[in-house]
Amino acid sequence: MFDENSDAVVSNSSTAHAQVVIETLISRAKDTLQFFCECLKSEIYDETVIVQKLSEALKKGVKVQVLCQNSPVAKSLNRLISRKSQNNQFELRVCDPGSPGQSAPINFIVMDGKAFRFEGDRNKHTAVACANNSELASTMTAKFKELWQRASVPQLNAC
Amino acid sequence: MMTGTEIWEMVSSFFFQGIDWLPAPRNTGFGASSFISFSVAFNVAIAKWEQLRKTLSDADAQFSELFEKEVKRHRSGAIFADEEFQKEANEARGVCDDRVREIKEKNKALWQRARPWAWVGALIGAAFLFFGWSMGASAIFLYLVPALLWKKTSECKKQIPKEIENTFATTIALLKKRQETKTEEKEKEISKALKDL
Repeated sequence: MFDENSDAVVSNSSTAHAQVVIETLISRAKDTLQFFCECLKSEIYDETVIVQKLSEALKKGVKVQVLCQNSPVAKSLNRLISRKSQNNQFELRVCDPGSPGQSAPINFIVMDGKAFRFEGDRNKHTAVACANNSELASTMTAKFKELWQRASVPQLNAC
Repeated sequence: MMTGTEIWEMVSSFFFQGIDWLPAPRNTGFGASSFISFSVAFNVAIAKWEQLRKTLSDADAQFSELFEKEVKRHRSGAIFADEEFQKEANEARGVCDDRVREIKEKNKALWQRARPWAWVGALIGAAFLFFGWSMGASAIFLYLVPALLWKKTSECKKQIPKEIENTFATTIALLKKRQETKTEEKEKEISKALKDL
């Protein structure tokens, strides 16, 4: 779907399928990656392949921003963030208590302002993904920036 | 000006009889022209057998290659990536695969049936040689069997893209339509969810 530059919105709900899509978004990123999620779940973000793809993306110069509602759980990413946060290439923030982002039931990832994965209600596990929809992706980016302003840098335990 | 009969006699003597004024080992019609026609026909026959063997053995690779081309041609990558549709899309692929397997089995059976006929052809060819009629004629028998078989297998081969197109394209067209509708619905849902945030 990336090769075809397809604008089709595809279903992407199961953990295994989500992992594949997230991995693809990370590995295809050239410029920016923005994550909005509850807590960087360990079952996805502690997976070796995801951490590896993220490290490769950072080496390529991709700027990564992660906005969580609660403190991140994935230990491997915490370590990566600690290492890469000095040059602002990998930034993490947690939504301030009472801010609009803190209670939203959604998750999303935006890649290079055109591809995304969006989960409208994380309790229902009904996510979708799209390889090429700049309009929706830019709306997500704008919302991400808005929420980013109402969030702060957490203290990480990078052990 | 030569008459039709004279031309036929000349052609038939070239292919089926030796030339008297050339030395022949057993005076059985073995001559230079027969030897040339035998060499040409034998080489063509061997090439034909090889072509036949290749047609049969390439069926597997051919299916995958053609299938990938069809996926690209229909721009159906997004359907195979869609959790909701990939099961149906893969089933359509499975149907194609089964159909191609049938065609392959048919080809294999044809190949197995061909082997005794190849021996019959070779024996008739050998008999021609033995009775001194002509090497050219014997080689033609060697050639005829694979040539006829190849014609049959290439007909089967032509069926493969047709089968893929028929069984796959119809399913994909339906799934694409559903995916388009879903895309529109989801776009609205996402916009609303982001607006409400």
